Amino acid sequence: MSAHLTDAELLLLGLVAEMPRHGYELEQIIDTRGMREWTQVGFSSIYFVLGKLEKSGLVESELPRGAKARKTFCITPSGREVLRQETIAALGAYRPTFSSLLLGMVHWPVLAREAALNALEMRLSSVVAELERLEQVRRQRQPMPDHIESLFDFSTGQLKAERSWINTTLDYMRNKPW
Amino acid sequence: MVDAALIDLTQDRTALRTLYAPPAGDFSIVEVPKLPFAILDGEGPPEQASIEAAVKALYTAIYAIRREARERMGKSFVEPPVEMVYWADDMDDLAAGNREKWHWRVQITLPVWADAQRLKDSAAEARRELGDDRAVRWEVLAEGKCVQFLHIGGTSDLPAVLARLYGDYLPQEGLEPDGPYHEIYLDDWSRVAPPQRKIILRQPVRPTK
Repeated sequence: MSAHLTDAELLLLGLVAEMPRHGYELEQIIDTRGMREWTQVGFSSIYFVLGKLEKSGLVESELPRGAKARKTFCITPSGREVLRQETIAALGAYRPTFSSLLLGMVHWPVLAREAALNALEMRLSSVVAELERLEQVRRQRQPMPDHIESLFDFSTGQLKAERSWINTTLDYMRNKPW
Repeated sequence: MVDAALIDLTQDRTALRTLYAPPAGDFSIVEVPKLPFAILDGEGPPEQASIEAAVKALYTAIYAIRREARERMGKSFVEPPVEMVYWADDMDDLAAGNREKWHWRVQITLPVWADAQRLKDSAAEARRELGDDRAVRWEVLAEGKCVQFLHIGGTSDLPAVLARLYGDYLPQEGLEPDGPYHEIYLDDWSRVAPPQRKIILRQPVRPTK
């Protein structure tokens, strides 16, 4: 399999690599780890994606005996190799994400100054609220391994950069004389 | 006041390696220095669900300290793992693996500047998540000479290791248990499959009287 995996495929491949899991368990982990917030993996698509991974030979499934048996998915050796490569690609390649802020700033002149300043202040309060929410989520999810703590540091770092930019911009726009 | 004899494991990488990265598959002797701990006492027999809840509560209570440690120390902050500590009224129940008769607590060592008051403040900050019934306490422990063993695998193999420790190794070496027995889990069990889990078993010892 040479084509890149989709985000959903890479996410599920990684979770199955930790230990063999069944579909419902994967659904729960995605929920409890808060992965639903930043990935588009619906419950129905979990089985669809697992099926795709199975067809490409990256995972294999096993149906244990018993009436209530659930299909368990395990990673294959080639799945593990693809997971390593895709993880290197995910860490190594910068993929820009474009904020709605870009269009908002481009169209700044269509607004009266007060309206634009108010909108930016609203943005500031959402950023501050998001920072507080992340801090609370972090406390609720303790303990987390250090690579996940660092991931939270990344998100809060970006938000803090945005907060500081908004403050600077609000200052400047408020004070300019025309 | 910081006790000068306290070791700050969050800064001392060499001590961290000695204490938490023993050679695999063999008993070895380690000298455990005087360390400050955040401790949460367990209730009832040690069962997975209550242990997990206690570990979560302990980490929640020290969250503000860890956050400050990361800010103060940046990349030089290395976090020691959480330790489970078990003991029994009758030591034979420990050696025989009669877990329903064990008492337990969870503990993690803190940076030396995080004293009893800091721990109290940190836990107070997390009161909403913790509720009122969980009392984390601060205590200095100096366990001294210990025997330890790095086990890789599930917990079902542990009784056999304990039998070798208490039945063969300690008597051969002229040693006897001197304090509660530790299990130190180096992995997050929700992310690591049983065959790959690393567990350090540690028993404080003294020469047999």
